[in-house]
Amino acid sequence: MIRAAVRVARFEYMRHVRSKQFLGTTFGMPVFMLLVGGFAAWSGSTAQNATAHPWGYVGAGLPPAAADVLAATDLRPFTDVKTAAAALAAGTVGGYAAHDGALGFRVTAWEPLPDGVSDALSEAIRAEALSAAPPALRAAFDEPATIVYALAAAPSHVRSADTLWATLAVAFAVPLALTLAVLFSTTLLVTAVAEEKANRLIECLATSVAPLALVGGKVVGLGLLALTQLGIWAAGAAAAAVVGLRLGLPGATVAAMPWPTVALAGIWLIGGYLVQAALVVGLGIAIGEPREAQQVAGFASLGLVLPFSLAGLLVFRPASPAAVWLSILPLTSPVAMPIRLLLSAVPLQQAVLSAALLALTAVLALWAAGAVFRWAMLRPPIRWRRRVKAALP
Amino acid sequence: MSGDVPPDRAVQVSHLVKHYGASVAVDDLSFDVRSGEIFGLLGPNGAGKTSTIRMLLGLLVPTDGEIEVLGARDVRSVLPRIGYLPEERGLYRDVRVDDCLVYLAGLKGVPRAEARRRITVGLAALDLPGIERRVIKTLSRGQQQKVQFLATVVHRPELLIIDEPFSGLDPVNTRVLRDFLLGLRAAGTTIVMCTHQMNRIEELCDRLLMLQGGRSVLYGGVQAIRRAHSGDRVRVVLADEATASARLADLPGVAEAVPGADGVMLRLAPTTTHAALLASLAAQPELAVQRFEVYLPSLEEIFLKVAGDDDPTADPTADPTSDPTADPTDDPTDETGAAA
Repeated sequence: MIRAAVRVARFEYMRHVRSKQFLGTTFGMPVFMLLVGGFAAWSGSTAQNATAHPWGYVGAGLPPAAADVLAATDLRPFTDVKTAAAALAAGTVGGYAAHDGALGFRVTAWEPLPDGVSDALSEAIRAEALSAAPPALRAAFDEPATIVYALAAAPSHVRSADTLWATLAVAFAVPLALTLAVLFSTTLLVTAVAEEKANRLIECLATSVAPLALVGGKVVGLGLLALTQLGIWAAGAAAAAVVGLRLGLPGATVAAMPWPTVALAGIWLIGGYLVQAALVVGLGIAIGEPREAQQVAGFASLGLVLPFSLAGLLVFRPASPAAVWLSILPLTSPVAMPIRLLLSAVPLQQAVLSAALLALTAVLALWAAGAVFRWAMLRPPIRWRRRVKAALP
Repeated sequence: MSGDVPPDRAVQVSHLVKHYGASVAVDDLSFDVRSGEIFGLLGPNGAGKTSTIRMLLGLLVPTDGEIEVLGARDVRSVLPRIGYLPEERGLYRDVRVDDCLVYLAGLKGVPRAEARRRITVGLAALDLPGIERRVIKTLSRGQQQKVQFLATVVHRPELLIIDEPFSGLDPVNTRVLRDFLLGLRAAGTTIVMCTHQMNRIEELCDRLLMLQGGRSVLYGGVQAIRRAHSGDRVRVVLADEATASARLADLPGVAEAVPGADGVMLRLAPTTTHAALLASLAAQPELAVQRFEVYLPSLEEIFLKVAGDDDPTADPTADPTSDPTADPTDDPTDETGAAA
């Protein structure tokens, strides 16, 4: 039986790995993502340049230390508030800042603060405070306290705002890539199974291979296809990282990424794939019509999509009950748990429970898929769309 | 191996029963298929043919009865020695012919190199030389059908079960496939063939089984069945064709005389025998009888008579069900089973 399953797996893998669908998705998806990302960056920068007006500040009443800082910026100086207000009313500036008592500025504007203004004002306040501080405290201004972000898997010496943003990117890119690969492979799987039933090839196969070997071979073959796809994307990402390092990407940021946790996410990838594969095999063989089976399989994959729509919850409230349940329930945990693991400190018992439930569900789902396969293999297709239409008034 | 079945029996079925819930698909069916023969399995749609075949292949478990295939009661143990071609069929459309056939042969245990050799020979024999590297969806329907047939026999099965092998084939390809089947029989392959094409049964089959309502209604040698159904009809050719019909109708014991292109068909009265009619003709030499033959009905006539002339399902092209939501390609037996 194992030999037959290996033959099925090899055939399914080779049949699909050379298909236009696989090549198009594997190489087209990153290009598409790059194009979309590039367009977003370009349009953001263009909008900034197109809408930002110069800003100004009122020099009257400024402490010398703060005045020195602001004089070194691109901000336009005004002698008094009246002149600045007139410029704002005339539309020649987007806003202006006026010193408002000690260690404070009042901003008057008709557009959001452009990049740099906030930093300049903060620096001016720091200079003002530094000049007024007792000598014993001045050292603290030269070495301010570092804000440490709670990146569970990042080494403490590299925890910073930069690594936070990079980790956020990884925490979504990795589950997204895993999900895309799983959905692509399971779509091929449901199509393959439904197609074989539709043209009754399944009957011929069933006289050659035990149903369990047939199902197992297909699941393994298309699982390897998903891994191939992920491998190609990972290689592409590694190549991009190498190029990025040469172009100035900070090496510490790359090193700070929680790579062991990324590898650990593979557990949830495999479990998630097996559960989805079992679901679509059952649906594919029961429905027996490729297009209708794909549509129903689309509903079955909602469990993987749901965590992305609740991403804010997973990022900002990772210990909330909803986030915890999302990362434990087997249909959503393949996406939710890797995100939590990458962004927060997940209690060990939750991670173990999630992995164990997923593994148990995968085993039960595969067993059930085999039973459904044997039961539905010779039955007429379920024309669910036709039945729904017939049931409607 | 069982000692109960004679060695020349490829298939032995005893009191086979299959229920789908309350519906009876196969009812106390017994028959055997002899090694090396072509055995016809026929019957109207829903008669139980597909269920019987699936039980022979171990795809369905009988409700009752015994099946022995190639000497084994555990049918799955001899599946590598069986080839099966279902009626509704297809192949992997986006795969090359050789890749598909090597895969299917491999599942039956044929090594890759040997499979490739057999595929080349088989394609040539089926008048499809040099198409190994073509993608299946680029082939014509007839070509695809022959490729699937080759997939069924590439592992050289001892028992071949084929369902409507000629449907959709043009006359040229029908002839190619028929010759291929005869070649397989000559080589000792046992063939069970389901078809609605009665002329193919007459032409190819040694024996047949006709099912209706899950039960056997005809079983035996093709010619023996035709003789058994010859009944009350006799074809007579007289030298004087113009008056033949009227003169023959006046003979004692003739109930009806119908002229045709090939003589006059006489239907005898129930009290008359063929021999008595022959004696009457011999007693009147002026009739100048040129030919006297007991009419052997075609299998189609027997089929229609047994299945019922008004049975729309006797037409293989007829819609098997009036249910608009049903798939016309579905076997109603399965529909029953699914509903149950």
